[in-house]
Amino acid sequence: MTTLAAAEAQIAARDAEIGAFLHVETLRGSTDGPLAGLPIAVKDNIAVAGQPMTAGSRILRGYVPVRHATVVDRLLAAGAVLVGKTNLDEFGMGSSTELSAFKPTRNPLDVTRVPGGSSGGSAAAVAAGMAWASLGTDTGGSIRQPAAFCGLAGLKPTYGRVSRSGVVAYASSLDQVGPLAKTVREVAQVYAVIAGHDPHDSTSADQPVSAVAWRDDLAGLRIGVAREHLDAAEGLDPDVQARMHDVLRALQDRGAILVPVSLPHTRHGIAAYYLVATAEASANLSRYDGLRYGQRAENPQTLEALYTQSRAQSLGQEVQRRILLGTFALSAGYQDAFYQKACRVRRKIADDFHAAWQTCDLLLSPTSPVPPWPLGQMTDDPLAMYLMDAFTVGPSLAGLPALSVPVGVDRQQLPIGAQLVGRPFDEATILAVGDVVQRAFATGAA
Amino acid sequence: MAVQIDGALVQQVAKLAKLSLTDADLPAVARDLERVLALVGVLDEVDVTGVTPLVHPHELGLRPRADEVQPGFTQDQALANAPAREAGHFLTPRVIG
Repeated sequence: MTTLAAAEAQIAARDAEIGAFLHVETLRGSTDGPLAGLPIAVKDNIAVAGQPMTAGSRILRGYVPVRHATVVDRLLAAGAVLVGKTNLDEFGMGSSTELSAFKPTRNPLDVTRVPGGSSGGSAAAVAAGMAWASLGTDTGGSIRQPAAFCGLAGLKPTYGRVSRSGVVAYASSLDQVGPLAKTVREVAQVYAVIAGHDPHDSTSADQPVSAVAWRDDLAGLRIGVAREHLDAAEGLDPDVQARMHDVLRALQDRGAILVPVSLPHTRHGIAAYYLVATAEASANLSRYDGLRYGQRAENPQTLEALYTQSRAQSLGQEVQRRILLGTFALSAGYQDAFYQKACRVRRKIADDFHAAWQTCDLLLSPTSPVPPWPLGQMTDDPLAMYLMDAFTVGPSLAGLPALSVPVGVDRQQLPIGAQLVGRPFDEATILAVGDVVQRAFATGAA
Repeated sequence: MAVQIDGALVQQVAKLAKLSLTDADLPAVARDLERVLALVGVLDEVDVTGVTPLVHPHELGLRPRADEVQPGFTQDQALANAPAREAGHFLTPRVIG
């Protein structure tokens, strides 16, 4: 287990190379509790009062929150020791952490490769032993994919399960906070602390959080496998595909029943996701106007110039691209054909999952179609990077809980992750099954 | 829906988004938007006749808290990160000539 002393030593020894942190500062809360003394890193779009928060953007350079996010309050009350703020793609918009305005983060398992994103700093910190666990945020895969790329477990809870109060908004109908750690059981420990209703977030759900019943035997459990997420998936790496079949065999050996299901709108998920997420982002990011906080352009002559110059100077290219797309998708004359159409397809995607729950208890797929790619490989082609989210955006659009579990490495020794998707608010089932899966592949893990 | 993205449309979208683009930026941004719109064109395959848009996973509605006064930010806290402030206010360039 990573202790505070070990984490601090690793940060000093390795972070200059890895680049997981944007800010290193120890913050202690309660001295006892379920996470007493455990070092936890927090993604830099989650507010820690008194520590700078940039969300990976130049426009928030110098910004210091005046209060903690609810999840930070809960970690500190549970005895966790915060070790710093981790790097991310600007505002969470990216899948490699190369789109941070400050620096890229490297994958500790192979420093020539990306750690995934957007919570790449949170994943790299844990993988390099610089924290016992970390918090990330996930809008379309941003916890699950970096967890998979760094050989970790990572949970995106059901939409509404964890408070978003004090979290920098990207796409408000999709954003969720969740934990990353080396094991599913450690993820569950952090999840138990941060989950539950918060009166400061009107979208947070008032559903009871049930304890996980850890198990070895999966007798009678029905695991849905969609061909669109495995054998009929486009662009799926052969090693990843073969490993998923190994996982399915291991589950069958423990008594689970495999059920073929269909998620026919999988191929429309990316398009629906990018229209919905960018539309919401265009509204959310309108708050960066150079007036109340953040960077302001020098000597603007008019109020309009203050807005436009502050934003154009300090928002990155990908963020501006997404704001423009979202603004277009919501604009008069185009809203029905783009935003509303995407929301209608979103319902079809959610309905596909609801239909699957008639015959299965959870779904299994790869987390990412490919293993971590070399740094720089996709930075010139944002559309190619969007396609890497093929399996993670569906559960996000449907608001479902999803867990990435490490299932060993491929022929190049690069980590592979399996995604378990559960019914709404049934994190307990995917955590219990994820624990079985992880233990089955522990010997092959990095 | 096929859309022809030209410089004028990009400029109009940028204006709505409060982003300043130079004329030199326009062709590249237009090409970029066209590529993304080509990607999302796959949605045209889906028959959504009669389908109600799903705009939020919580269709049962939001949960407002009771309408009771609770502690919030102090004026100093609210202004703590302001790029420019004066006499307890956010300072902006002159708006009225």
